[in-house]
This record gives sequence, C-alpha cells and structure tokens, in this order.
Amino acid sequence: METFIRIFRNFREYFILVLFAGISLLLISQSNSTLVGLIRTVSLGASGSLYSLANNLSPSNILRSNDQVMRDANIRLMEEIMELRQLKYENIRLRKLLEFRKSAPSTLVPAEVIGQRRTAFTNYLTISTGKSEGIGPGMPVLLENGLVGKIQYASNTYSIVQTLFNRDFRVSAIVKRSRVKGIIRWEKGDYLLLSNVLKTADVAVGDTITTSSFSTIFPPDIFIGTVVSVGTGPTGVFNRITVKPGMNLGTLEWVFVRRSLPDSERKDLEDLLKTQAL
Amino acid sequence: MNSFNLGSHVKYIAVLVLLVMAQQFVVPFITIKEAGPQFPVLLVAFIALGYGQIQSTVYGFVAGLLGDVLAMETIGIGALALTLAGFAAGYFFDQERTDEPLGSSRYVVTVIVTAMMYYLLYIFTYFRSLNENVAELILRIGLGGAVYTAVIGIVVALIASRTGSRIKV
Repeated sequence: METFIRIFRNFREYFILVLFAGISLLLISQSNSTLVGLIRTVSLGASGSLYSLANNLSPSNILRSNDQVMRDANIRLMEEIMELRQLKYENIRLRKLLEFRKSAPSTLVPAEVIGQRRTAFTNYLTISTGKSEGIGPGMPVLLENGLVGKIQYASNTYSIVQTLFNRDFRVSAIVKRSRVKGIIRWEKGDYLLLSNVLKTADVAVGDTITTSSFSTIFPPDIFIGTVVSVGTGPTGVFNRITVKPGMNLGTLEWVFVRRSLPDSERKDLEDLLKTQAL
Repeated sequence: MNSFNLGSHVKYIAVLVLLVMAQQFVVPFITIKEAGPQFPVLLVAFIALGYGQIQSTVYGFVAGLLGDVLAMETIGIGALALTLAGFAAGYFFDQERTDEPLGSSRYVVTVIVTAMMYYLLYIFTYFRSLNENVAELILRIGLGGAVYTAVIGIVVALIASRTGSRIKV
C-alpha cells in the first residue's frame, strides 16, 4: 500500500492526466448515450435563453432607440420612408415564405433563428422551436431558396440546426440536368463541394443541384445550389465541383422545419446490409 | 509555489466560465479567415505558470468540457484536447518564478505552445473519421489560431506588466 502511495505521489501528474483523458475518451465514445443527450438538452435550454436575450439586447436595437431620441424631424421622416421601404421588402419576403409554405406539405413548422454557433469547423443555428412542437433530431430544415440543414438536438423550446456549412454535414445530392449523383459537403468559405463525382461525369457550370432520393433524411428534389466551377480533384479521378448554395447563412431570420423523420423501415434495412457486409 | 484555496478556485472558475462564454459568443465575430483565438487557453497557461501541471491539467479539462457542452460539439473532444494541452503547459512551470506569471514573456510562449497543442489535438481527434487534409487544416486553422491567441496573450502580458503587482496570483 505504501509503495502504491509513493508511486502515486511521484507520478501524480500522470495519474491526473490519464484520469481526465480517460473521462474525455469515455464521453466521446458515449456521445449518443441518454446521459450525454440529457446534458445537451439542459445546456441547449440554458444557452437558448441566453441567445434569445442577446438577440433582444443586440447593439442594433439599442442604437436604434438612441437614434430616435437624437435625430431631428427630417431624419425621422427619412427613417420612416426607409422603414416603409423595408416593410415593403419584408412583405414581399413573407409573401414568398407564405407561398412556399402553402405549396409545401403541411408538415412545415416556422421557426425564428435566434443564434448562431460558429467555429472553424462547424456552424450551428439555434432556432425558437423544439420538442413541444413535435420537432426532433434528424428533421430537415429548409427555406424557399434551398436546404438549410437538419435538426441536431432539440429541447422543449429550442433546437440546434446543423447547417450545410458544417464539416460533419453530408447530403446525397443529384445534378438535376444530367442525373449525376454525388455527396454535398462543406470544407471552407461560402461555397459547398459536390464530391464523389467522377471526372467523366456530365456536370457543367450553372447546373442545379438538389437532394437525391438516396438520402434517408432529406426528401428528394430540395434545391441546394448551383454549380459555379468544375475542376480536377487532388486524386485526379474525381472532379472538384464547387456549388453556390441557395441560402445565405448570414441573412437567415426564419426557417422551416419539416416535421418528418427518416424512413425507419428503410434505414433499418440499409443498416442490416451494412452489418452483414462487416 | 502558490497555494490554491477555495477563494482562488471560485475566482478562476468564474473567469473560466466568462472566457468559455466569450469563446462561444465573441469569437465568431472576430475570426479572421476561419482562424480565431482560444480564450480558455489564456487562463490555462496562467494557471500552469502560477500553480503547476496538475492544476493546469484539471482546468484544461473543465474548460474543454464546458466549451464542448456550450458549442454543442461531440462532448469530450475539446476536453481531451485542452486536458493534454494543459498538461503540456505545465512543463513551463518554474517553482522559483510563480509570481506575476501574466507579465512575462514566458506567459506568451506558454500561450502559443498550449494553443498549438490544443489545435493539433483537436484537429486530429475531430477529423479522425473524416476524409480531410489534416496537415492543411493544422497549418491554416491551428497555426493561425495559435498566433491569434498569442497576440491576445501579448496584449494581456503587456497590460499585466504595466499594472505590475496589481495582477498577482
């Protein structure tokens, strides 16, 4: 026992390191467990409220109220004109959204974007709808001008959307004109990549990219973006196809969540095939 | 070596929570070409120089875990990276020079090494299953982020050296 205590004293830094590194590895391996899910839901509820508060107290709101006191009558009139113009554009935008909602299946749930979590590798949105409205992980998030992402986590009143601009995000896509299939992913910047497309495939600048029927999460034919360049990939076998997405992440204020879950029967069957292949 | 009491813990945990929150809410607005600073590294490096390897390892783990939970990342990746980075930062600890660790050039060196270690480990762990060019990511995001963090570390060190004894462990 004494020897053990002596060893521990001499190497306690390493014991601490192994302990915490071990806990971290355990947490990584249990990322889909109920406990980790619960931690995420609690954290999402708390941080969602923070984002909501920050949204209400944004500098633009505070500045606007200060300006109203400072400005004279002429500037106020000018503001009113600008506001009217803004309302006109908002009206047009909302009409478009309404038309989109009418034309799309009735399972769409509107949600306000209240926050954005961005790192060099990931990009998540926090939206103001959650489990109380039947929202759950895996549900697609879209807009009239294209796919936005999918629900990653949901608490009662908030949800986290994993956007297209996320290194972990993959979606099966198709070139509408030539029916060439590939995988849409994001590497960096404002553009997406259509990968796994052979050099000989028929893809041209200006082609429209939509979701394909291969995806178990996203319904087919949702607009993703337009091809802006076709080059040779690093291996020389595949093309490097750059796609300009339809949606602009910086200007997102409202999104729609499609209240539909992946086809579980199809997913189970495909998972069974994967297990047998192993 | 400085002693760690409950009061110090409360103070540093409060600073840590603020830094982790700043990491989530402020860094997205000050990122340059995808490279942003790692605020929690600033505290982990400070703890390493002032208190030693065990403390910096523990604080690294707590900071990483908090960051993972807030960022909705895979819980454990940031914790692992910052635990190991905190451990590495502990090698800069010198029992004879624990006073005013912020206002020294040693602090800046510790910050840059800790930040580089963090990015290196994070990128390796995060992209282990993805078909990504890890070397390019390390150079672009890792090195960029480490330099960015070091610049903020220099600012902290300059402020600390100006204010002198007022910032002590």
